Amino acid sequence: MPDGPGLPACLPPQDLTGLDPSWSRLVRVGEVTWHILERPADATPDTAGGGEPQVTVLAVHGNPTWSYLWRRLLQRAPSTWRVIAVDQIGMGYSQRLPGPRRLAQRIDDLGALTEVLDVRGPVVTVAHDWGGPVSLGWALQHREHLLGCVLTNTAVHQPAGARTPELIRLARWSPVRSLLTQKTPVFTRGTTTLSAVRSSRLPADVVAGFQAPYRSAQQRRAVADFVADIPLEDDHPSASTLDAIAEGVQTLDVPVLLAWGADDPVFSDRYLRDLVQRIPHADVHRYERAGHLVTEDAPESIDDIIEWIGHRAAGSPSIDVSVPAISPSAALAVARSDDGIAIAELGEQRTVTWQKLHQRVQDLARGLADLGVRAGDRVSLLIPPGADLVACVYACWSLGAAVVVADRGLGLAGMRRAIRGAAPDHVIAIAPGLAITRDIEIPGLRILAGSAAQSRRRVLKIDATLVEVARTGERRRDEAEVDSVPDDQLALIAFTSGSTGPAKGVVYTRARVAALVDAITQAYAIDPGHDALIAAFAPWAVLGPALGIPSAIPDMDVTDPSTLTMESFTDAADAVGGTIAWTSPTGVRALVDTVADTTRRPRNLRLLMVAGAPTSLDALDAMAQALPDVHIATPYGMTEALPLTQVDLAELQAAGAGPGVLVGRPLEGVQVRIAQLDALGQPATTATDAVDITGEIVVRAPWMKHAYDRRWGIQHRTGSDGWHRTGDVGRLDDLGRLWIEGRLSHVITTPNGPVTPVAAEDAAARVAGTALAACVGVGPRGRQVVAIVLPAGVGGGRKASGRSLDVADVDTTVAVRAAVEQRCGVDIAAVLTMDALPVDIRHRSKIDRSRVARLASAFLAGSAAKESP
Amino acid sequence: MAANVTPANVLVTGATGVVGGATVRALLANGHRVTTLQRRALPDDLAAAGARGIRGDITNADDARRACDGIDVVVHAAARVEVTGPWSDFERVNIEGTATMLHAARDAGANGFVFVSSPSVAHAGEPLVGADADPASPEHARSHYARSKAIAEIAVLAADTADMATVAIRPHLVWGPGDTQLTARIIDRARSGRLVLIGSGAALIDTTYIDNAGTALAAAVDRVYDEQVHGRAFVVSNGQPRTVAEMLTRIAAAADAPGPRAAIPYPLARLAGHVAATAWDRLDRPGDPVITPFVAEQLATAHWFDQRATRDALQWSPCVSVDEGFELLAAHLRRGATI
Repeated sequence: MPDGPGLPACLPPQDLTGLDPSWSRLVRVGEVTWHILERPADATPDTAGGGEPQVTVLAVHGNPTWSYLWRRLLQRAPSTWRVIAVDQIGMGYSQRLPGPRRLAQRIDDLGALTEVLDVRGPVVTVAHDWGGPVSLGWALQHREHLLGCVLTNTAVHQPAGARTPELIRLARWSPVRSLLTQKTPVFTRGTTTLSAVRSSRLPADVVAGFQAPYRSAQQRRAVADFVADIPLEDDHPSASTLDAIAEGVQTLDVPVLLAWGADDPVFSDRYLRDLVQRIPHADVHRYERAGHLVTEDAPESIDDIIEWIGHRAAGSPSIDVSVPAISPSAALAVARSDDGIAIAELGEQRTVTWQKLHQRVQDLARGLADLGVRAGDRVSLLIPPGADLVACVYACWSLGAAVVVADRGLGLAGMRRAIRGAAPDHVIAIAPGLAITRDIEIPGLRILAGSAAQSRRRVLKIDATLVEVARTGERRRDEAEVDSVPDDQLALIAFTSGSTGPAKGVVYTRARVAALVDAITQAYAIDPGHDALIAAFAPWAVLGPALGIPSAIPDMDVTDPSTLTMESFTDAADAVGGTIAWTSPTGVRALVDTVADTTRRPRNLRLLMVAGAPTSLDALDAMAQALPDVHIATPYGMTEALPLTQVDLAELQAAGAGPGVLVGRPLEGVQVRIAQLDALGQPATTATDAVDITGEIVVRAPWMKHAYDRRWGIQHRTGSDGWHRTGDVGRLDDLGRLWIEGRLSHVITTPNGPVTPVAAEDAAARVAGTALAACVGVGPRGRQVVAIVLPAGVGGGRKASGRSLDVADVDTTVAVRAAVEQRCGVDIAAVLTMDALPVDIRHRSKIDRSRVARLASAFLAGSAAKESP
Repeated sequence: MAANVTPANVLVTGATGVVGGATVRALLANGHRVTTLQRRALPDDLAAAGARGIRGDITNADDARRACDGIDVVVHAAARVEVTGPWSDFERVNIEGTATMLHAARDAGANGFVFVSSPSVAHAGEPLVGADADPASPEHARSHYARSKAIAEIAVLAADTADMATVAIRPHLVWGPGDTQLTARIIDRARSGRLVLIGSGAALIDTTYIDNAGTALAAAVDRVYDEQVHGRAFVVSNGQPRTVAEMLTRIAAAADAPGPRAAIPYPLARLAGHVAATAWDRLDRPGDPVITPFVAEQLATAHWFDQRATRDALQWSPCVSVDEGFELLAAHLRRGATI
């Protein structure tokens, strides 16, 4: 590219959204003038009189943005920090120089600038896109000042086999390059549209802010040069510099945060994987539904970055795992090897003995190891609950690999997103599962649980079948057992139900899973010599082998508990002499509904656990009528910690109506605290064991999650102290029992204080004779009024076509209002009916109150609000 | 509610109106001495309760001066409330009449002036949800009534001085026995089977049972000098928003009449309102047309308010709930009373 004339540096316009003009200044360094944003540290008692800022944050943008990208960082960082965001030479409002500027030169440029600015430690670098290599180059040259590094959607290396991102490849093709990047603003505009892949586009004023310095072809020339300096070829002049940085980051011993937009078509997950491999100690927060400009698409990422810097600057560990201390006695292994039944699959008419299961696990483990599965790898399992799943889980565990378990309750798209987020190294799946993961980057093995024709194997990109893996293992039976695996190794990544946004991965270490096995053994007084499990809620079958008890899976669609019948339940019980059963509320209803079809009952059953969601007392009562000698109980817990508390039917019946759903007393080893809600429904930062106070439920147990997976910010906000903030609200009563009153995000904030939905919903549903009711707030926070939404079919007054919501008739309204007033002392402004209350896929009982609230709010705003132009 | 309040001499204008009448009763109950100014004779029940009636016109300076003689606080409730008619009528009664009363009160040495206003002075047609009493905005007002009241309210609040404290109280959608505006019309139409819903009937609206409007204004009389009261405007309501459908149905039910039987889509109602209002004006018919665009919008748009500021400042809360109001209205009608 011929050298063009330079352009002098200048100050940005005064009126760019979010940018404080007082931050801008021009700094002359040798022959070059920079434009930088700087927010100096306030003079504090510590820093007064020429003292040092607590931290200096040095932020480097990428291509083709400018320091505008970091405006919120300057705005929100603590005043004791010095925050500097530079415009790279030729970019933003810094001077345009003739000729391209190579990576090495840019690193030197930045070093010269920080010398002039007298930047000294402690320094945290923050960078985006191709600012990443520049800032890392600087960091490696200034280790003595370095406190930490934050990287957002960037790369230091072209991962092997990775295709160059399409946009960059196109932009790098010389004839197209100058046209795309310089002569027209396609590339600069492209970047701002690359963000926000799905939900929101950037506001026009912010787009204008990003584009402000790139209005003319002359202004854009560095954009073209920058693209030209991306070393895609080994002989590129900047290749050696980048290679040195890629090597160098592996020696970084400071804390690193990778804050990543998950939906970036340029710097996709494979670049994140590459960075994680180079910096295994890095904290990761991967923002779902955020694109390339992660700090724009997920504005909370800036808060997370600031929080991370503050936390790490104070020298705190990333995740507090100091509590609770655990030394579980259970092993994550098949506990027996006799020839009794380990697993009975009634639907498959298949039984597996302990001896066979044990051998199968050994074979699979050896086979997987032979094919390259290593301790610490993540293996995604997409196999229906049954003997294959159980064998794969224990095989992975015996290798020291972690299993990633995404269930169909997430929906297909949700499953795909969840698996992609967990970045598995390998996948073992039935054919539909392999199809789901077909477009997900899996660097390791793709193993089919089942058989397939050769052509199909190619389509599904299958490396081996499970049978082949086992056969490989069989041939190596004489080899030594796999080495023992440390307790802090990851064992399990499961997922939240995703009813409030994309599902979050939840990570369990081996120690935590083992503690869960111990807890269940103790809580349910499990005697391996006597007990057997009926896994009518099939995932529990996985724990059977570690518990050392046989499991039976009834002949049912394991993904649809409503297909359970008393007949199939009893068959399963008979197959193993089942004494303990796990099912879901839907399963209970299905059992109750089919009681009359058979006189058979499980003879040995002593305990029926109903888990997953609140269950109606009527259904439990009917169950008790059919199974009079069985102890019926419901636990409370969540993906992050299960089980936490437990209550039995007798106590539920004795308790009557209370402030919510009674879930009982904490199990041995569980601590429950309440963080009181303020008038705006915000929980206090500290939680107490005070009774009769409504607040967020905060828990701790040896078998709770280790952390959220690659969600540093959420983990930090909800669990930085080693407790888990559940997001549920409720209260403890004076008997030490826990009542659940709803979700924190569903708390209604009225002028008279917060209102929780569950008790009101219960009162409304009872009087209206419906299974469900939604209690939601309408209006601005702190000023809300309360509405009840019932399923259509009751109280339906005027039914207008095409409208999902309607006003309930006056009789229903008056009755519901009176019932709620009496139970909760809350005035109900309106009672509505809705065609179908939105419920979660996994449990079909958790109402999406946020959605109902949005719809009800719009409806109750009146027709004029919607219909007038 | 007014246990520690010294009795004052209070003048109430528009006492033959529903709000004025309720205020007189509440003031008398609080132990105040009440004088009234209105064009017609004072209703017997108010006279029997102890009010002293003066006949006169608020737009007449002499009448106003005479009524204000010896008065401590004026409650100015008289207004032209129709939804149609020429602007000049609204200007004369609502703007000039208020100015006349303000002058008379100040000249007579009154130290409090309570102006009965309307939330419509600040309502520009958008849904109001959990709203505050925003400043009056004549330029955004949607009717002659609202515009004239907005201008008058601004004048009243601007007249707030150390000598005479002023306050504007905006009762929202007053209903109950004696209300010839809203309640009587709903019942009339319900009885003749002509009560319709506009749109879905789902708009949440705040309403004020008549007795609560009276006690709120009486509280304003007692609190008008308070630092957090004078010079300000307060919306008064029951603080129990309900859907339009429920309000219409239950007011009709109080009269043993059927609720709304049909719904007309909002755009159609608005169009019909334009036609009706225009025709009404051309025909120079007395009273109000069935519907105007303003009414159509009022009945199809949410408007409800955050009542905390009002209740804190006036140290007042409603004494009759919406449910109790329906029962009281039904009892009133069962006694054979017309509204």
